[in-house]
Amino acid sequence: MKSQIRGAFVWAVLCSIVLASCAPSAPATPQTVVETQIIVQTQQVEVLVTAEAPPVSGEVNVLLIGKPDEDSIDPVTGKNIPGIQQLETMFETAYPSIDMQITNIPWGSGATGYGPKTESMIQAQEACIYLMPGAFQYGRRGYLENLDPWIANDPTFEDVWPGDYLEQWRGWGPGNPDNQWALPYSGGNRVIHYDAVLFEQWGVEPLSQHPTLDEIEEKAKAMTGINPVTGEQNYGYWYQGKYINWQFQAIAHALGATWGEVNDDGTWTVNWDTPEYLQALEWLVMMSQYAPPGALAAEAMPEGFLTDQNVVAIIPEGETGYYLTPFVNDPKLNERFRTTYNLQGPDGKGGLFIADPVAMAASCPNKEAAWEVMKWLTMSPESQKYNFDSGGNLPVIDGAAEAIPELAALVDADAILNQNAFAEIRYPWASSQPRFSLQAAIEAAIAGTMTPKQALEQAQKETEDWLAQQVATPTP
Amino acid sequence: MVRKLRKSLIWYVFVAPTFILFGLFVAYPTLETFRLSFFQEVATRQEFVGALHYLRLLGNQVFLAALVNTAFLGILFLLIIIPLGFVMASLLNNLRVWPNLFKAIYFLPQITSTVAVALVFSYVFQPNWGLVNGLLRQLGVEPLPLWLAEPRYVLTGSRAAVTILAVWVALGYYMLIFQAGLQAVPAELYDAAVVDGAGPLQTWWLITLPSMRPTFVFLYITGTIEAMSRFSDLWMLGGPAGTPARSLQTIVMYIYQTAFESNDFNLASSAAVILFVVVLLLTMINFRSFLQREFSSQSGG
Amino acid sequence: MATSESVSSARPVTAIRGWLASQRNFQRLQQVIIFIIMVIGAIVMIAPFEWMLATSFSRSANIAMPRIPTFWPADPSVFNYKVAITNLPLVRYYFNSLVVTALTTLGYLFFSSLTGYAFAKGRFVGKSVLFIILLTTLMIPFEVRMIPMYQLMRQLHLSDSYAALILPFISGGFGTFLMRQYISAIPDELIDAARVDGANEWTIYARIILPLCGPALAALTVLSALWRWNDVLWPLLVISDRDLYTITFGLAIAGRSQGIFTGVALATSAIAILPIMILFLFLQRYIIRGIMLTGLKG
Repeated sequence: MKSQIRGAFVWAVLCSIVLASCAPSAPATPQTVVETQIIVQTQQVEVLVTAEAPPVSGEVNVLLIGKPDEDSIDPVTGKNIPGIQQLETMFETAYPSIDMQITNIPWGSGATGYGPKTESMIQAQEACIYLMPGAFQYGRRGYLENLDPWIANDPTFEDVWPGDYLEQWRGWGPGNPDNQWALPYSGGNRVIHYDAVLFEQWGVEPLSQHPTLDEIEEKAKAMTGINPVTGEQNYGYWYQGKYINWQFQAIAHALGATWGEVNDDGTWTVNWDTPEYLQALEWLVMMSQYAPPGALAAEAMPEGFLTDQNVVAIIPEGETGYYLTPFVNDPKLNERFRTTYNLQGPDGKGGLFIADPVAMAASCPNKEAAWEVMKWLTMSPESQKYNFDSGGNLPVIDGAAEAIPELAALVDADAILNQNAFAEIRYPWASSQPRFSLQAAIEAAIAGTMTPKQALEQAQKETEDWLAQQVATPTP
Repeated sequence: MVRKLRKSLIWYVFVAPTFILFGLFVAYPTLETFRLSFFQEVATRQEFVGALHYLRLLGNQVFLAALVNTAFLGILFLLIIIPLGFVMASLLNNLRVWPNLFKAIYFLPQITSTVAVALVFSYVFQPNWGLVNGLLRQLGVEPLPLWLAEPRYVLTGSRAAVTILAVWVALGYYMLIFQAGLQAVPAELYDAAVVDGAGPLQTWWLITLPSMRPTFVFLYITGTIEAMSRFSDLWMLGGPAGTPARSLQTIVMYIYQTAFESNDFNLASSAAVILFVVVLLLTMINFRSFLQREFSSQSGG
Repeated sequence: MATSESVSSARPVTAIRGWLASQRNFQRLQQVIIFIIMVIGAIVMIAPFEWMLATSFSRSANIAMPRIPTFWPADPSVFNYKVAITNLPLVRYYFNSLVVTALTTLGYLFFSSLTGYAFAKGRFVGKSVLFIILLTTLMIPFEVRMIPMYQLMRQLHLSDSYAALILPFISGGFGTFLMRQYISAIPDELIDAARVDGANEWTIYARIILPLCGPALAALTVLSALWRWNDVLWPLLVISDRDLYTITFGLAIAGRSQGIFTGVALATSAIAILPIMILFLFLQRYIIRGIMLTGLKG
């Protein structure tokens, strides 16, 4: 008996060794990262970046985040999604003398998310160009190159971004209070969808281009119940439980709430327990009764979204990652699933804005070539189209619609392409304690384990406890 | 003396690698956790702050809720799994048809990774079309329970769902250990009971149950300690915050979130120290019976 | 039931009582009842896996799921598997899991048995103190130490390497303790005889002790392999490079981001689960024996 067991053990070890050595060498083919909270959109540039005989050469390392490493398959349509090496190929066709090396990492989360990875790469000076949502923090700490001189000395450079997109990335740095830290690379927005077929069956007027809370409340209420035509249970409203915080911010901002501010020393003041937030939370809790049961555990769109089985009339917080590729592939879909702008506050702004820029490391040894790479990534139609093809990202630059005709043809191209111009300024706390505290509070209020007032007080208390431990960013 | 030391030398060589690794990965990190818990990072320097973080934790509703939640989920789980495992093991022990086949089937979830099982169960408990609610709908249950979308303390809420998951996973293991215990009950005891004219149920209640005390104690202790460090399945289902409304957040999840999402390593370390103390107390209370069991298993193996 | 005296006097009941009075009939009924209970339990155990398989083979599961659960896909297709294999380097993940599990387990067996032998048969100053230290390490859960361990890995520049996944687990208090207990039971005469023949301690360990420790080593193999294969918390702290994901960790990360595509997520789960299940069915005798010996699960 003993020898049998020993035999099995030796066998198991041998097997694992044999199997290990037989495994093919690393055909890395990672997934399309579907980031539900941060869906990036991109602006399309109609600028011709001259590719004739580039004067510079050398190797440029680039950090990108969340692109598919290799060609992959869209889980719904079955279509091909181009891998990152296609971007490299495109670049090297345009600039044969520059060797662009892309490091592509997943967004991830926590200790192994892109944040700590970016930190270690920039400290080890591993790359020149970074896709960098946190460009301000790195600029403050002296890690980034001020782009102003590069822009001033480059006649081919043009501010092709609408409004104040470029100015959004100016910030304080050691020795110079006003620097251009980054160029806009891709942006994000969230829109409101509604199901035109359900609206018609219920005899309800379609949503207006800029819906208000009252309009949504009234129509959602009217369409919750048994559908007079199909006899199915319908719901007026929807919320994405696990990411409810973003929807809540849009509602609160529409009621005049602002989260707080960034202080001069880089710390934040955050106010969750204001009357506006309370009103917003009470409204959201009230509206949750018009949503399908179980929405609190939902991570995405309601089931049946973009199919004939849809039973939810108004679906807020539509993200490009969910709707854009299906709309483009099947134009009939966006006749049924219509799109409006997100809610707007008294300042005319509203909805989550996430714009990921690219920045250049101050330590970059090959800045001339890096600058060419940077311009190509942010301004070239090829690079912008790659963002659209690889992640369903949406270009929103002036003239973007003409650049990608499929987009201009969309029924609600106006709202889809321009929502970004109305979005709220980015939230610096988007991935830290104030968000987690508020998220838990909203969940508790909707589930009824706390009153909205208690929930906001709790979120405020937790946030302040955390803020008290934060110290002003050290300035080198 | 020198000769004696030289003779001992080989033994130190045998012991050294293990203890070097212990120093690096057990002793140092444990002491460092304690040290961090009394410090505060101020501009990349660590400053001594005494018991500040412990005071912060005591007034911290999130931490206290996680602590209570961990205990609640652990107790609920043990209250179900121990009797259920024992009854099922007793039944299986008496079954003559395919006992090994059943043993293997019941053990399947246990060898499947917690992550995979939790992922599957996030769909099993989906409120609209999940396996459980789909079957309940066929049975005409109305309204359908919300499971993972219901953070309140109700019979069909998120805590119930994860307890069902944990019982489903662990049943095979508990049955296995109980069966080992059952087979170790001396046959003479049963013979005596038969002579006294006891029926099968009486024998089970009066002879088997008391003889199984060491097994119960062992499963209770290991079960409690394991419950205190629960993480993977709940993290899969509710993220580090244990959504919805933190109803699934355990201490380890709180430590993880505080350290790696809020970047407060010092506060997280003091929570880790509290976890350590709790586990230590639980272990100490029953350490003797634990060791006894280990010694007896060695002679039985 | 058969011994109960309070049964009513209705005729059929009396008949049943009469039938049950026969020991053989009673036992037969008992077997049938137990069998039925066990079958019901087995269905509960298997149903989620079966449902996972059925759904993973359904082409439309990514778009809409049927209200009534089906255990056979209405529209059978391997599409979801194609997506899972194309979009995730699952072969690579498996390879990483095998490397990490095999190397960790080999180290764990070696160091546990070597140190266990010293504690069981060695004579050296400080033995009992060291043994007590060893026992105390048993009481420090990984979760308590994980923050400094994470920092240590970063300081040593070991994050994102196989070493980070392997090194901290190649020795363990439990393994050493178990081996010490097991080796203590080996008679001293065997060892003394070898010493007389001039064998040194290393030879005795390799030639005499190890071959006698089969069951204990097998049990530790099961334990260490299950621990490493299924771990997710430690990779979550030290691995961000997708090329180093283990199958369990890769499934965790993919599952949490593919959540909206039910069919693909369940196909990925099936790919991660089924090979291990089949391996278990082949090795179940040894795995179950190993778990019964240590009393611990993976």
